[in-house]
Amino acid sequence: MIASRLKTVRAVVVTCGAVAIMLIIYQWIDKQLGRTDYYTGFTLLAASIGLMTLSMRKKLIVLPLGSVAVWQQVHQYLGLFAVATFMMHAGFPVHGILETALSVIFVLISLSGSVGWYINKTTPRKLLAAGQAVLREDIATMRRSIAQQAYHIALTAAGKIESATLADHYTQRLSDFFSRRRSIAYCLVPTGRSRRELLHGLEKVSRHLGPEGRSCKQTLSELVIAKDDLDFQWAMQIRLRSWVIFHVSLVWSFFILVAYHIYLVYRYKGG
Amino acid sequence: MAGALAIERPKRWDHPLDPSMLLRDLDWLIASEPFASMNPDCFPKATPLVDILKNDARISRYEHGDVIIREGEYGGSAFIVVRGRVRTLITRLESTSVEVAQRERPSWLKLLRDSLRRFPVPEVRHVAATRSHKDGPPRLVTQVRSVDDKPRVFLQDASAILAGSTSEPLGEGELFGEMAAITRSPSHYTVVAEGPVVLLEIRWQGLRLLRRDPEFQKQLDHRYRGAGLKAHLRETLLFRFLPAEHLEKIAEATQLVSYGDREWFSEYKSTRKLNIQEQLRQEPIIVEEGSPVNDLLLIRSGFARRSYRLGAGHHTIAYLGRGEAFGLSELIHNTHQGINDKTILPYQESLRAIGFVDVLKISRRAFVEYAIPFMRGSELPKPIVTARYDSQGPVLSEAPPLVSQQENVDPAFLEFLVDERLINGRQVMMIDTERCTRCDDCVRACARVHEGNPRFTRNGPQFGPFQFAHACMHCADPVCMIGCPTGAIARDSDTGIISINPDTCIGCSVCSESCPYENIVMVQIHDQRGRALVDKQSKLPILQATKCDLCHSLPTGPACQAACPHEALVRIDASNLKALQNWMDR
Repeated sequence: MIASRLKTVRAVVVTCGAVAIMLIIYQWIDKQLGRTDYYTGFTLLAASIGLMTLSMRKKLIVLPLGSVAVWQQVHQYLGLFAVATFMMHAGFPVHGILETALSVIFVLISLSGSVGWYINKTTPRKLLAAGQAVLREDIATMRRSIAQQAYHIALTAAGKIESATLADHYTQRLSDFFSRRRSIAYCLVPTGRSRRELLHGLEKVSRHLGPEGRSCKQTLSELVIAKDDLDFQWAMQIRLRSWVIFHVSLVWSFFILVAYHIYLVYRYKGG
Repeated sequence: MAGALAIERPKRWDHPLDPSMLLRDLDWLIASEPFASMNPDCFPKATPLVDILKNDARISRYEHGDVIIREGEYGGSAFIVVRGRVRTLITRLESTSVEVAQRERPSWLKLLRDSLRRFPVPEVRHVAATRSHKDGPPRLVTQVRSVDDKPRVFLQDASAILAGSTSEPLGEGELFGEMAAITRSPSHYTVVAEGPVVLLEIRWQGLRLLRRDPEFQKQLDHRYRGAGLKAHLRETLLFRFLPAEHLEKIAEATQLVSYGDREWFSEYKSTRKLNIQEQLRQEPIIVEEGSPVNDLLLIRSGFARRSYRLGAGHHTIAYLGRGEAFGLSELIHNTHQGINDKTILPYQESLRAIGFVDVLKISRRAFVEYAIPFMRGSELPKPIVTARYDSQGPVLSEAPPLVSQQENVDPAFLEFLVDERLINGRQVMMIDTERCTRCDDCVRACARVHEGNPRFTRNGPQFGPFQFAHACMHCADPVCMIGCPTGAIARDSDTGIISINPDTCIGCSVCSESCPYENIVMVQIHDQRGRALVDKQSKLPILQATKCDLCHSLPTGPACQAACPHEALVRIDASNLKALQNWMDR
């Protein structure tokens, strides 16, 4: 733990140092009446290319260039450096349609990067709290199995007068929950609201049930929890993958606009 | 991708050890000892003696100084001296004396190309490689020959080394290397040719079949129990200061006893589903707690569980591996108490065989007389203060605390390792699910370096946040190697990595079924055009076994570990509890 914190402190110090050096050079170029925009622009380009190398490193895993974990760390701190460089380069307010589009995309990339950092930090603990690690590919089969179990319990309950209320409750409230996938909104922000509501509903039904019915209700409650845990695992894994796609798509859009931006700069740089 | 290509299904003995063995050599072998006195009726019709010798044996020539078996090498073959003489070197050779042949690594260009390539169809094989040598181009024969022709490792100054080392000569008709081959263990000695030598090499698959002859089996058993004993005692840390004559006395007073089933894995698959108390009942008891201490026990091979009774069950406190002793504390305690004292203690814990265990039982008397005087006081265990049992029976009032005695490891974790048999793993894939985001970068990296097919599943038994994924663990006791009819699955003698040779794998799935951890997967193979390969006759798909090869051909080591962006995955030796604990506590 201490070693990990030391590593973080060291990385933050190095990043701040790099930004400070960048500022000093900026001031010096400014005093010399040099082109600070070229300086910050190309530094930003270099930092952006550096940030892109993470995905290349993942592809070229055969090269002995250190573990991806180290590259990931470098990526995060280089990202912070790029944000500082961007602020120096673009300034505020931003003028022009292209420049505004570039700035918006850059801000979105930075924000999605920060969100990604947060997701990567928090997802493992949340997933662990939702039970044993489950493969995403296995979730559909497990869901089906849970739905079948719930259906059979409801069927058993329907056959007895003392637990018929439970069967009705299943048809009205639980059948959909067991058979359907969760919404996109749930994938984005998975919450335990449905789970709480369904468990509360089952609790309310239990006063109309006999001993056997209460046992069926207990099993159904366990199945609701199991299904909700699986949905949660599914949502968290889907969210992570969607975030990667979103982040990478933004990066490519940014580079296309950057290329056009550089072309325009040189096309109209004048004498 | 579409369509299928019919080829001849690979068979056992499609690839004999020596495809060029002459008939007259075979006739001569059959007429020579020990084969001449073997009873041909002992062998099944499908594998007669003549076919075993024809396919699983070869005659090889060696020059003076050639290394035939290297100490520490995982044995795959036994040898019989046909002509000449060899020497078994008992003293350890420096690594500079025995050079290791260089293994081929793919070029950088190929590695880079493969990394960037997309694999529309996984597990592509060269059709020629899967064909029988009888009707295809001689690709496979060349491969076998090239193995045969590889430069032999030799001792540069063999005469001087042989003169300066403790060695034993072996003459014509004598057998060696059989113990390492049968037990899948590293060899205890180096064998060097003394002058020109002709040897008959029998690969272990053949050796296993030859054991059907009762006389040969008896001879092997006798040698296994006799020859291995001295070597093992000699390398036991406890006895390193013993003079040779005392070691001799200890050897005389030692009995080698085997517990459990050598092919334990078949039983394990069914017993692992039982509850822990049932599992424990299935484990053969080596020593029962509370019984009188008559012997010191040394584990020769395999693993044993140290436990004591707790409530209605048993509490595991440690597991013992090769070279570790049991009963030492009690023996030392009793020695200090004096032989007639009432405070003499029985065994304080039970010892059970996990799978198959070879145990050396050294009699108490011989140990006290010949070994204790030569053992360092600082290395001896401390006297037992709180006994669980005394000479009258259990001492219930003073129950010991619930702690593991092994490297301060959580006792529950230790029990988990033993129950799941993970202690067998030398390269276990351990995932910290408190860090793992399930991004599957490890799976993708594995697929990228293995022709589009990952060689592990990110799933498996879990202890708290630590998951042990289904990836080959390159076990200390690789039971998957038992029964492979062609020797396609083998352990690298230098690295200990177990890999499958796709050129000689016939897809019989013996290894896959033997692996108790379900870490070997049978996959459908394709040709370079993406067509599924099917058997010419039955039209059924041709499968091959695949598993993690620890990316041994990559300079980066295991791609899964290198690719993890969260440092959540590690390949680790599960027998090294200190390393495990350090990684868990990091």
